[in-house]
Amino acid sequence: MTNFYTLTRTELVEAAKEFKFIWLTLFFVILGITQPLITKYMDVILENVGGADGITIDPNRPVPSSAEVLLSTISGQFNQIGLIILIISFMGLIAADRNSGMQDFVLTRPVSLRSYLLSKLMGNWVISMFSISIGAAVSYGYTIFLFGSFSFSNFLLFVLLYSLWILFIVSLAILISTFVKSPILIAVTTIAVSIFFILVKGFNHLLFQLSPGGILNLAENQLLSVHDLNYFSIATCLAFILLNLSWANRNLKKS
Amino acid sequence: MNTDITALLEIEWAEILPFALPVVVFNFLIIGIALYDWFKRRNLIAAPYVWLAAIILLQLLGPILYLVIGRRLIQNDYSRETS
Repeated sequence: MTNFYTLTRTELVEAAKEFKFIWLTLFFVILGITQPLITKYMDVILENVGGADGITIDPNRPVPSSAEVLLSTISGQFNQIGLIILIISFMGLIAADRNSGMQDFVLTRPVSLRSYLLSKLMGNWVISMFSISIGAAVSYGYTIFLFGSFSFSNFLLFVLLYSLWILFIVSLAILISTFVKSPILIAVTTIAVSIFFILVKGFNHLLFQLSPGGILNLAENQLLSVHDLNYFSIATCLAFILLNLSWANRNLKKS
Repeated sequence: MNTDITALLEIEWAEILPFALPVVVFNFLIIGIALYDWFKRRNLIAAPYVWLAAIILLQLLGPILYLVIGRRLIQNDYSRETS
């Protein structure tokens, strides 16, 4: 397991040298701040920005609860534009290694393919979760400041479950980069597949609930305090991650 | 893009500033990081001045695209021709 540790550390050091920790965190913080602010101050913004004459906002509109605002931040911002930028940021995770010949260099050492893939998964997951959790925490702070309190333990549980979804996305990117060579195509395919899973999770059918998107449903229900939760989707999500990794392992072994 | 700058003068800044300030500061911070990296590598990367315009003009997206894609596109990249 020392190989795994070394490779993961290399991954993290490389990310730190590219300022990835800083700008990805800043990006998610900006995303997280903007959504509660826009929800709260929509009428002020519309009044002050030109070109909005004739638009009125119902003064008696219901004030959204903090849970709804958090949900719209996560599923509206983090899960769309945030996901796209996240995938673009790690689209080269295996392709760059292969194109520069670094993969051959690593794999001719006594390093197993499994620890190589696991280190890729772990390294990129740690980077993404570092940025996302800071962004989500700042968003949480703004939300409770502007919209009233919300249980912190539920929020923590939500971030934990959301991290499993990110783990799935990283493993998906690894799997797809064993099929496709060009980094841009990898990013486009991964974005398309993950958005497909996000869309499909809305259907209320057992088959769709067992798809990897089900973990997102479970995470979002933590915010809405729905009882009667289906914790089985944690297991299916982990199973899908393992499936992705072993498939990628087999593909790389063949080539 | 809204180019009517006079609208900026009519905003009640005192009302908005405490909340808008973090967003503005973080935006400038991310532009600053991208500009610092651009300045170090400007003789190395392909089409540096196009990337400078992208960093400064495209809000939030420009710096990120530069940091992800732009800094890897290097002039005279021979490794691409062989592959």
